[in-house]
Amino acid sequence: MSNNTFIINTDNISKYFGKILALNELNLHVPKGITGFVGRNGAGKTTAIGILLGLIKPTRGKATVFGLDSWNDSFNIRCRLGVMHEINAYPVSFSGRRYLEHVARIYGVSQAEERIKAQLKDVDLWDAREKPIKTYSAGMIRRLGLAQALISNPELVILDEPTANIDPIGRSTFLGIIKRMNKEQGTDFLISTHILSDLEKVCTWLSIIDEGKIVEEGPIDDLAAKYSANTYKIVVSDPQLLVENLKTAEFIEKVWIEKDTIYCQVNDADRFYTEVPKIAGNLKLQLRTFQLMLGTIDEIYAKTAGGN
Amino acid sequence: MAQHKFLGLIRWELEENLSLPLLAFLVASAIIATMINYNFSSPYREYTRLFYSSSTVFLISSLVTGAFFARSYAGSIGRGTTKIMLSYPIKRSQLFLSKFIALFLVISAIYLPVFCVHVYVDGLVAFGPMIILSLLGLFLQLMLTCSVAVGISMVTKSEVVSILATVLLLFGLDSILGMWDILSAQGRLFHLFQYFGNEFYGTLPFLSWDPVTANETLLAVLAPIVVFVVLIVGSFVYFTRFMEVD
Repeated sequence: MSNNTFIINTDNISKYFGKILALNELNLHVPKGITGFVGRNGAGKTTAIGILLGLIKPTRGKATVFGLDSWNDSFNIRCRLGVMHEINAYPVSFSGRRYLEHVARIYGVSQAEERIKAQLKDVDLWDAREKPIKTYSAGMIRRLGLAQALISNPELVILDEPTANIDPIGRSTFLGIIKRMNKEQGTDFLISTHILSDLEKVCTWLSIIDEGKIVEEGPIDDLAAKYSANTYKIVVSDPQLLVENLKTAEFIEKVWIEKDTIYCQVNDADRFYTEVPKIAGNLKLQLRTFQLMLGTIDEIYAKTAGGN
Repeated sequence: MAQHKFLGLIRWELEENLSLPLLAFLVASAIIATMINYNFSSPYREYTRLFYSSSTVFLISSLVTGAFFARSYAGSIGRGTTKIMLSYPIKRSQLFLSKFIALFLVISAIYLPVFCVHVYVDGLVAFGPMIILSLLGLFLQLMLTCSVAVGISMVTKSEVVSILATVLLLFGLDSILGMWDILSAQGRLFHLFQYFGNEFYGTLPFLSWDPVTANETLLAVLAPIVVFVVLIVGSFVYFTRFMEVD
């Protein structure tokens, strides 16, 4: 992928806070679609988002969003995106509806009333629309955060820890809205989180940050294959018989059975692909499934950043 | 569109600042200010009374103004509201100015009626020269207070520290400098009363005290204006060009 195809590009960004190095030559690339931005607490996710929004100036390097410089063209960038921060510092005396009215006015949303109504219903806050924000639960405030981020129907939405403090049903609703917005309106999302299971359900691209650096990024399917740990899954008519024959094979490092399915960790994938069907054929076994086990986001994260 | 957005921002700030319990606090401080009265028996007793009761209004209003400006600027940076606001398509200059205008309107709307109550209670002529001088003194004091509070807020970015620093600085300045210094609220008012009392009435409201010169009076008026311009322009440039919101 060339740099032109990415909506967010950072070019060797470093950021110091005093003597503390928060970002260390960060090269983040975000394509269209839904991108997961993963890293432990203090890895630099929020600082990176601050730079993308023009809230923080990088010490070195340059960041662009929609091809615009994040510090100098920050206003034009912000006109085209919606943001939900990790912090919930909304004016507590306002009602949810009143707050969205103010935000809609700032974005210049046309037919604001209908849009506000739709957003409040979408995030399940319609019944609580006239209550002051100070009476909202943590989950309700997160949902209000999503509503205000989506109110202008932006091209890109940046969500910082969106599902923190939300119950499982609420999280599912949240992810459903993200998926739908992406599918129906082509809205792109950058989701910064450490709840990896959420990302698996929605993301198409993954960027992993550790100690202020991108340690891995790419399409989720490619990363899943790359970090598969060379583990294969085989389903045959007689698994016990095949396992007995595979145990002595040189290209097999480990083989085991779980619920009639054989799992093999291999050291030579090419030989494995050619030899196993032959062995199964010689034993007159019916080979039903024969496939590479893709790595989960947890595994990818553990192998790139989690190990440190 | 930009103007519409700016007015919307001022409205946003007004709504936030006029919400309870902040409004209740403001009104309570105003009531306290009007309750303090002095009784003097000098030939110019009504102006002496105006001088001392104005000083009380000055003191309370400047403490409240300092606290409100510090809360709005440093508090919103510390709480993260500024971060959220600056993630919307709002120019930093618009945010800075909308806060300033909204707060100045709120403070003026509370303390101008307080001052009018004083004029009524003291039985003075509305829009008489000394009343206008008192109003000028109040306006200059508010300018000084809000600029100090905003300046300190930009440095500390902490609501509590900014409120304490602003209140202690202004209160301390007045206590240490007293009535004779042009940098204290009382000193400024004293210079205005003493000089213009002599000009308008041919005699001094504070008979036993020394007269003041025109230059001293001009300095008393210019000092808060200069402090205001330096601190507000400096804070504005810092907020719009250099400040990082993390």
